[in-house]
Amino acid sequence: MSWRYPGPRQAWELRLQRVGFVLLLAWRFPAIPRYSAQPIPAGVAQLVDVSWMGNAALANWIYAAFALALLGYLIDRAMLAALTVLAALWIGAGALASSQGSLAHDTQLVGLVLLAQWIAYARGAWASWRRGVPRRAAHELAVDYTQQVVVATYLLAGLMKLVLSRGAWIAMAPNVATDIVKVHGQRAADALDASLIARGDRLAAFALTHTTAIRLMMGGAWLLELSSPVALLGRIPAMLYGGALIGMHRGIEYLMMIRFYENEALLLIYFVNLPYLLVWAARYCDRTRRRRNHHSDSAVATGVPPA
Amino acid sequence: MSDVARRLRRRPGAMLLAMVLAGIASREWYPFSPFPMYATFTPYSWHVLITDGDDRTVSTLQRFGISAIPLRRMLERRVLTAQADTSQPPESAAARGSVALLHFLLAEARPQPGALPPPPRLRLWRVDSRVDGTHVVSTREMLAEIAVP
Repeated sequence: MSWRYPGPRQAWELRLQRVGFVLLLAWRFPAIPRYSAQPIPAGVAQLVDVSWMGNAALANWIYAAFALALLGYLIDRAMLAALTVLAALWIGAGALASSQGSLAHDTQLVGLVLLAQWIAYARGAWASWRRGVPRRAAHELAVDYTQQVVVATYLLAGLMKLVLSRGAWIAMAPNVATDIVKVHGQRAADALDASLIARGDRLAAFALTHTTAIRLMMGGAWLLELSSPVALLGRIPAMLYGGALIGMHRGIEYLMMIRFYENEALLLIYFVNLPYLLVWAARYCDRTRRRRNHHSDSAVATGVPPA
Repeated sequence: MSDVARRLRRRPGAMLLAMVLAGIASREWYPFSPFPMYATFTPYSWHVLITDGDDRTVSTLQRFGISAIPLRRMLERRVLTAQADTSQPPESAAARGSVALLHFLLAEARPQPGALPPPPRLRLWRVDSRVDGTHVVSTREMLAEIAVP
């Protein structure tokens, strides 16, 4: 195993990352809300009518096709076809949810990752056919593209704050208080829990009375977004940025009660690289156990206790 | 990255650059987005609340399967659509958009298991929140009321 980067990604690492991505897709696809029509078509729904995605009679067929494509992706068979189905169904469902007047931002990142991975595997298939490049290269490219897409969304979010606030985002930060009250009001209505309104009022008062603290916290998160391309420089920066961005999302969840399941899962799989860490920890434990056993055997053979 | 992958990836960061440019150029074209959420903050915000005829809060998540969070944008888009209808007086656009949103909730209702049926009447409220010193003060105004068929 290597902590260097760009360094070789292990075959098992790539496989485990695919398992992680499959789990994410299987978990979140059913959570995308379904509607029977697309009254205000958004994005791709302007080109293709995706209202059939909300047809209850087709629901089982849609899930079956999605599951079959997940299986193909998981076992690395007919990868391009599998990704075509996954991207079409995910983006179709997201476009339908976004065509009701409000964008389903939580589905966008995974949709973009699926598109990027499709491009990676298409390039891989082309290179394999033309130059005999091994299939493994496409898996590595897919992870590489996934990381770049995720970083691009954070960089864009940081740049938009700079442009739309005309550089005054940190100065404006204490006004997040009104958005805190708004989201807590919405959550209180969803859960029929009036205590959430009181929580929102408390946090809003904190933001308005501790303006320096709130500016420092939000300024730190903004810098993290703007500097996120650093995460592409190696395993260690990727892990550090992945962990920090997950921390940022948890901070937003505490303050705004908005959870970013897809973002956190993608960061965990491709940046913190949980699969790599788990195998690294397992091998470390195994090596330590073997060394201890070796010392014990030596002690028995020589009669000298290990140092 | 292995040699073979390096051969495939001749331009490092190309996908990053392409996605940033696509996001900026798209100006929200699903699934592309410049991700402008919370890019500005103002001392004023508003959201939408649904109640029954006795002004008790109705959980749209439980009764209709739609969270309260997207309701504001859904209302804004319906009011804009109503404004675009030149056959109707523009001053009634807010009311028409509000009624359209309530009917949309009823038409698309996918209630959570065990949820109560919709109440006989539904009211749509606009809740305004503004900074007042060290606190946020909220006021609300009813935008529409309909009888549930």
